[in-house]
Amino acid sequence: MYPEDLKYSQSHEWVRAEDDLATIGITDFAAEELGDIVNIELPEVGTTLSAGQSFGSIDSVKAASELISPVSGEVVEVNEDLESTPELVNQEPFSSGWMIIVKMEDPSEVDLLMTSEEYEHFIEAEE
Amino acid sequence: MKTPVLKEIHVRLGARMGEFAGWELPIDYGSSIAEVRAVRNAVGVFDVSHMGRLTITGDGAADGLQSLLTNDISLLEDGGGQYTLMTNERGGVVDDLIVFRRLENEFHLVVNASNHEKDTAWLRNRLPDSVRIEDRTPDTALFAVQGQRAKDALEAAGLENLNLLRRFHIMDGSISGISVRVSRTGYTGEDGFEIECKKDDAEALWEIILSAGSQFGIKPCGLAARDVLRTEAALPLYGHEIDEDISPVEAGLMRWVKLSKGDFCGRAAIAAAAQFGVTRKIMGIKIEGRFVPRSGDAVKCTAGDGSVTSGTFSPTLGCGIAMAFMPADAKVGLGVNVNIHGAQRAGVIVELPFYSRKNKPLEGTQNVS
Repeated sequence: MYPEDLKYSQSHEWVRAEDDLATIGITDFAAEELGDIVNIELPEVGTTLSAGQSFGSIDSVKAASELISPVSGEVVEVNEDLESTPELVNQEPFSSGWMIIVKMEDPSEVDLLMTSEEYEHFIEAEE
Repeated sequence: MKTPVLKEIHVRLGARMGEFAGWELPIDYGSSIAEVRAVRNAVGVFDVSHMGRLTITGDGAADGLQSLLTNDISLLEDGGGQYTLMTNERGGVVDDLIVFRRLENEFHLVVNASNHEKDTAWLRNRLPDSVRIEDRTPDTALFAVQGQRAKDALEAAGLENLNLLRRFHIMDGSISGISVRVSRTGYTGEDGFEIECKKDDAEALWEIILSAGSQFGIKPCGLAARDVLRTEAALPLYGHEIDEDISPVEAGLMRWVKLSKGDFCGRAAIAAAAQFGVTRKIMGIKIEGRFVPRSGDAVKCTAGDGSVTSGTFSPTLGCGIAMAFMPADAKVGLGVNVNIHGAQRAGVIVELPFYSRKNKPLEGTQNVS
């Protein structure tokens, strides 16, 4: 049920890796848990992130949570649409709800993340 | 954890359940923003069976309650009710509640779920032995039907004489043969009703309300929407704007404290605070943009430091809003900075409430002035 071409973190981010570029968002599981998303704060282009570090925050009506980067590298693109329409993350978490693109320092970091099947088991264990 | 009698029905309606005051309750049924809009524009129904409901009866009930509550219950006629506070000797708020007079010495109290047991003990220890306290909560359910179409929805459900039920009044009635106790009260800033029935009738009544309300766009609503609605209407929440160490003077609730009615528990302390002034007061803050302030966020302004007590995103206003303890001499119009996720976000102190149905913003219109 989770896209097989993506990798997943324990904090419910997904990564689409193409060469050394990683597109990052959050999963539909995370978006549903949060409920209606009303604000997303993302880093500026040029920010350097390390894996496990916060790259921003997400607020739903009922809760706030941190966004954790699954990989290290430099932010090269930010989804500007989310500033005015954060609900895209509720509606299309795996496509138009993407958040940032990171130019990875070490693309092998992606191998440490979960496959769609592993993530599915992880969710089941969490529920 | 206590579960509401209708838990299975909520889950079937798509509710996300969560913990509040020791109860497992519906947080939302998919979209809390859609639920807020339903209540602001039409009607919504909440299962609030967790609210504590007590019947106080017997000789001395009226005098006893008058000596423990801040509002003046001698003003109530049979069937009348009022918002009131129960305060301790230091003038701190033990709880906020609604008291209805059913008969001369019979009162119906609706208290916070989180304070239900504390309130019962507080009353038992202070009311005379001739007064009985009956806990209706375990045997009944309570639904809040809220919004400008709430009356239409309940009339369609077959509830009669709603025209005679004034704001903050309570009456007995019946819906499809189900006996109910109905009050014209709520926690949303809209017109609305709260309907109590026997636990065994809860499922049938819930279904009747949802089905009768469908032509008016009724939605089942959860706690997340309830919190947004009450924050927009600047209604206090126990543990946030009020608690045992907060005076009604600080919380801005003196409208419901009648210092002239005679002595009551906490009167001297509250009178002193009113006379000599307090250093902090609850004020409203509107944030510039969609940033969402949360309880505990630090506030800075030229008048000094403050702290957010309740914060949320307001779908009705389209921006972040907060109630906050601010230095008492801070004024409406003063700019502030609120620390949200580690960044200083600009806001301004505004009059409370943020929303009232008397000056409702019209959907889809621009402010051209």
